[in-house]
Amino acid sequence: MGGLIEITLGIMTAVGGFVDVSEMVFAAQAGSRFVFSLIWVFAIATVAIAVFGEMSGRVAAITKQPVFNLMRQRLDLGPGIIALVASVVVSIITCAAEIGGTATVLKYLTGWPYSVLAALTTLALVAIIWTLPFKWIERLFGLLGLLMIVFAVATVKIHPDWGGVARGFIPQVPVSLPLKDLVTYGYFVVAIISAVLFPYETYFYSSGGVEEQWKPKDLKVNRLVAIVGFALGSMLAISILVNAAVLFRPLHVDPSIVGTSALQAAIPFGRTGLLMALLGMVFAFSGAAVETGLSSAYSLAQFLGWEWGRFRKPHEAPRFTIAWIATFALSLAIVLTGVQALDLVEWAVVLSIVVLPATYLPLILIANDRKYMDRHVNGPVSNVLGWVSYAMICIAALAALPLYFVTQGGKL
Amino acid sequence: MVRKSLLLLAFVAAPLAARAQDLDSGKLIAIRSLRTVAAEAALVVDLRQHGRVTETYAEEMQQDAEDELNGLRKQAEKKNPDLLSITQQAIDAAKASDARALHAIADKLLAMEGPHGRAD
Repeated sequence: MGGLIEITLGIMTAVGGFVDVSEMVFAAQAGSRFVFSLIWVFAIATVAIAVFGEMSGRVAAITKQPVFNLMRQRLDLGPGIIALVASVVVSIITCAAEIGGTATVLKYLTGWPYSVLAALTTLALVAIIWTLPFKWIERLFGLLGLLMIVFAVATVKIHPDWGGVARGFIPQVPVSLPLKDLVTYGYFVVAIISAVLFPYETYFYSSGGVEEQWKPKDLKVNRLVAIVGFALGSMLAISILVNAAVLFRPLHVDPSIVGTSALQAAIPFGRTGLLMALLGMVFAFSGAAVETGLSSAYSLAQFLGWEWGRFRKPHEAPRFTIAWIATFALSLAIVLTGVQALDLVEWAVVLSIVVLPATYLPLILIANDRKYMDRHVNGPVSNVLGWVSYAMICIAALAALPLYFVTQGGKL
Repeated sequence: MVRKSLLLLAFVAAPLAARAQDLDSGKLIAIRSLRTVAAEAALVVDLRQHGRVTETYAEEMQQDAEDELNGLRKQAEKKNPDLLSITQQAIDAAKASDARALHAIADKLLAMEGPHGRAD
């Protein structure tokens, strides 16, 4: 149990990153439409986010600086400001989507009005961040987010074609598809990469490392946290994909309603499974809202040189405190306009592409710089995986916008 | 190396994108959206009848499905009037919690999608 408590930062970051409101619908649609043929994208993107997550945690432990500080130092003012604005906008939009998703799931549990639940969710999250120390925030959402494991247990229970699942890990292009479906497949590839590598994950993770005052002796834990946490998140996302291929595809369901994904647990386990899935979704989505709400404030404070961190009392870092509260207030205002959570997610996925190259280039450069890292610079494995991942991100960034518009956000 | 790859991708993606847009994408999206909402509503009704979901969940999901279908009907009025009739049938079936009718509508819409339906 002690080990589990130690890696809650990784679990919260990964569960919030992999099985947030976007992935619940997105991974399910991927499985329903393309069976197991997109599993490899999750696998490759998981390696990339684990590599960058480990790198950002290592840099935080050695330099005592989170990712956005490094971006400010490495990028010129113009690109730096573009990255800042884009990352804050992405974080606010994603935070709104997660609050909307949480309220929607709570509606399935209580039957209360959506707008009331959205307001209560926001108030509860603000109260939790205000009152709990960072360590307890990550433990609360990291451990309760583990209810999502019901989706992985459902995968075992429904007996998928394991050979087919294993073949899904091999990179492939289903060339036999009609052109429209092939283009949509391309959109799913790019969007999964973007969603798995959402920049707020590394902002949150590295800032969390500074919040927890990691030191060089914590590097082993950092590696474990990054690998185990992100692998767990990836396993859950792949489970949702596999369940959709087995349970939804034969019924012609490509989930378009947030609550449909919970049926993956209801079909094999009945009401108990449904309730576990819905509660897991509440904690995963609200954990992602906390990540994005804080990431927005981390980015602003670190770029502008303000005092920041939950290890300080709110009045000791007033501008940081105002920034995260304002992020939640803005997000709630967006939700209350009535815009759909899934539409918000699509915009966030596309916008985040703008930020991804600017996020990961400074990170990989600093992690290779002996002036900052001394003997803790990247080894050959980290470097190869890091640069290959970076090339993949750049290609995905270039392809994202045309594919988004042609496929109308994957609906084609 | 990266720049060359990006240029290559742009050259490949542009004509593909242009060709895909030539096809009647709007109608395919409308049919597909209608098909999946009908199928989702049918699944919830089935599971409710077998006692595998809570009443609150089933009622809220049914309401969401009806809202989605009403939104699709408004879109059909503007862009795809030939889908109005089947959209109305889906709304009526969802209101009546008629799983059999919803399944039949989803099957019919899947057939309308042709080779774009569930290609393996």
